[in-house]
Amino acid sequence: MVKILYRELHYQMAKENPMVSGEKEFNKQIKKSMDMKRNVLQQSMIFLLFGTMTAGSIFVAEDEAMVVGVLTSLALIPFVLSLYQTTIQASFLTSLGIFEPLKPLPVELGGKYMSGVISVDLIPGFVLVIPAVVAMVFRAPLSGILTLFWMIVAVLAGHVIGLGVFALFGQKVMNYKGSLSFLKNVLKVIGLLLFMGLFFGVMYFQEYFAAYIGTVADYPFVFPVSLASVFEPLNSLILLVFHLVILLPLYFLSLRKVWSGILEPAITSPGKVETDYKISLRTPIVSMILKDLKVIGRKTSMMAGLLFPLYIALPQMFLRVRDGRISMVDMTYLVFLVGIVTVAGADAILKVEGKSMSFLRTLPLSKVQFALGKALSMSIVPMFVGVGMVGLGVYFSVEVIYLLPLVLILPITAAVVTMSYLFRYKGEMIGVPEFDFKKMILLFLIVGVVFGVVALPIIFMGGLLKYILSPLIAIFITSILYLRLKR
Amino acid sequence: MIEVKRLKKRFGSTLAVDDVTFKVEDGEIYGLLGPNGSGKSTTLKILTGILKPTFGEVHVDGINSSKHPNRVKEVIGYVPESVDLYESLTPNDLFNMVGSIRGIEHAQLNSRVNYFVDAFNIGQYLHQYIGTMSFGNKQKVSIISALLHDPSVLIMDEGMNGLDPKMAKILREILFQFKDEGKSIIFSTHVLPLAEMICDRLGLIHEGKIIAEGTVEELKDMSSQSNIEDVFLELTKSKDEVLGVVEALKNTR
Ligand SMILES: Nc1ncnc2c1ncn2[C@@H]1O[C@H](COP(=O)(O)OP(=O)(O)O)[C@@H](O)[C@H]1O
Ligand SMILES: [Mg+2]
Repeated sequence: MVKILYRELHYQMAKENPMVSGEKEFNKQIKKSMDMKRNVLQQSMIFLLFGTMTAGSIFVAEDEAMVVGVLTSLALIPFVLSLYQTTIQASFLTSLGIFEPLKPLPVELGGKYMSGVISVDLIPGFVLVIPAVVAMVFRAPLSGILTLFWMIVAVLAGHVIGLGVFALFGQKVMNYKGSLSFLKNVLKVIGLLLFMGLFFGVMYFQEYFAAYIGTVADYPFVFPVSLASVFEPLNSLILLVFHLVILLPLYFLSLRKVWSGILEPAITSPGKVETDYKISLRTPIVSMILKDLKVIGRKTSMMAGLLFPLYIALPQMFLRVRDGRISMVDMTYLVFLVGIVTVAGADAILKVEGKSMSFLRTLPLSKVQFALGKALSMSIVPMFVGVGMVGLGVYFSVEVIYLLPLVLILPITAAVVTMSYLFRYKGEMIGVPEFDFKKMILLFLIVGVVFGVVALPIIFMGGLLKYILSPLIAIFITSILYLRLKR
Repeated sequence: MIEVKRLKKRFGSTLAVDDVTFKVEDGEIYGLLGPNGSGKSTTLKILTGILKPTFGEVHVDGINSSKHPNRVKEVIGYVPESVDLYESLTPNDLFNMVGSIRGIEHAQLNSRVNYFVDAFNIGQYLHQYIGTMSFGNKQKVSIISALLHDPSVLIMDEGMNGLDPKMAKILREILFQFKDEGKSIIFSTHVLPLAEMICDRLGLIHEGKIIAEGTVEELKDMSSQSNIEDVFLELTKSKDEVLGVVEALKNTR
């Protein structure tokens, strides 16, 4: 069943992929992208490579505290990937109508199929930590096996939280747009943030607890810092069971809720129904951006994918504000980091289209309008995050204000680089290009290089001129890419 | 005006459209008639510039659809076969988006939306999310969004599907009005009486080929059959086949 759904999903995705023109190519692409084993294997190989690099440090690490430190941060990767994939894929799957054919069938707990299809894409993230597990087995066999189970908990936790976000925020359907809908959306976002913040808050206690990790008795007992216990097998086992006891019922509960939501979305209606047409005309690009925001506003769980920069920035800023130390170098680094992370939003912002791509194709919308609209849509969150960071930073050190231009332009540059890459094919056809982990990593690298060039003045120049020169370089690169795209 | 010349479209090993040539004049309603899978939708999608032909040329108002898909989309109103609208927008949002992308002027958009919304009687749904609307109402929204820019060529793929008799009549009136304004209309259907009622000329398409073309009268003369359904069955050489199936059905009961 999972295989059928997986094929259907990738068939639908290939259909919207504008890079695939010509029937031969389409058939080839379809065959390729529907081959579940091949895809998983390919992605896993790349992750295995990354994983092996990190595993080395476990071998060479001298004391257990250091190993534990590496493990804890490593466990975050499958967790975050799992969370991210689950939230985005869940809304995407439902918006493509993958489960429609299942509805009339007597399936019990159909949510498990959704979980199954998503899990396929979680495998590579898990493979990433395998080398570390192997390294641990060599160090201390029992601890190694425990590590393996903790990594499974990491994936499971991300998956369960993701499903929870989708069940709680992604499935309510309001059939009429009420006058309060904007406010409700804002509340939903805040709710989502609190929900996610809870876990990220816990995660970043890691640093706080770092001091205790040496004295084993005091390690905290919530994932991921609970990994600190692996060298104390009995304690670790108890903690592990404790996690599973909480996660597994939650898992089945959210599966149930997800499926009942798919079968019959909860509907709320406001009292009074408006019947007047309210006109609001804008340029095509602006109207595309607003459309993206509206659709995402209604699919709150998709927003989880867009809020990536926030997950990065919040804890970092929290630590810095707590210590009352905000240096210019530090802030510059963060601003560039948030800029790079913009790339991650491409997935969500493209998947907003879902099936409606066929409708957009009936409109005279050029590729550059479409791509630029998408680029700007995905820049909005990192821009706000950046401005927030600078705003906060100025409290501590006034000169941080010089970073403002960079904060505004870097996300756009990253987004335009991303879109120029994804829409680099010839022709005017619009669509949703394929965007997988492979491409995401490649784009992180490309944007990294571009940002390296942008950062040159900041690294090598003195004075304040560098804070003007650097954004100018970014604007220059962005414009060139824009013109290229337009051609 | 629509001109299709020697059009072919191949999907892998299937030839969906096989050497199709026809013309739709200004002020004419042309019906593309054919059984499921005969290539109607494919032909219409090529007209709109959404699909590229494998061979042949397609001109709409003198614009080559495959060379200038976006220019052709400006003069065409296209109602696709399946309605995949943004489910999380309201019709109001959607009309504004379409208006913005098409660069329709404020006052014009306002008056056209109000005109069609009244005509199709969907005022009460203007602020309802499209995802929660009935199939027929989604179809109306799809039709309205194809008419907002006052297209000079209207292309409807099974456009009457899902409309109740009253709405179908209203749509017919709108089509006749379009025709009187000198616009070309082409629509596909497998509902024969409907085609007979509206179309000036019909093209019978079967397995990707136009097997007969003409007014309803001409087609009837051509095959000495008195109703268009029989003409259709005879020309697609499926009459005997259908009779066979009917016999078989009777016998099994
Ligand atoms: N995207 C596609 N890929 C492969 N074959 C297709 C595709 N679209 C249509 N076809 C094939 O082309 C033929 C004509 O289809 P279509 O134009 O949709 O027929 P109609 O609209 O008359 O029912 C069918 O045999 C169909 O299977
Ligand atoms: Mg069709």
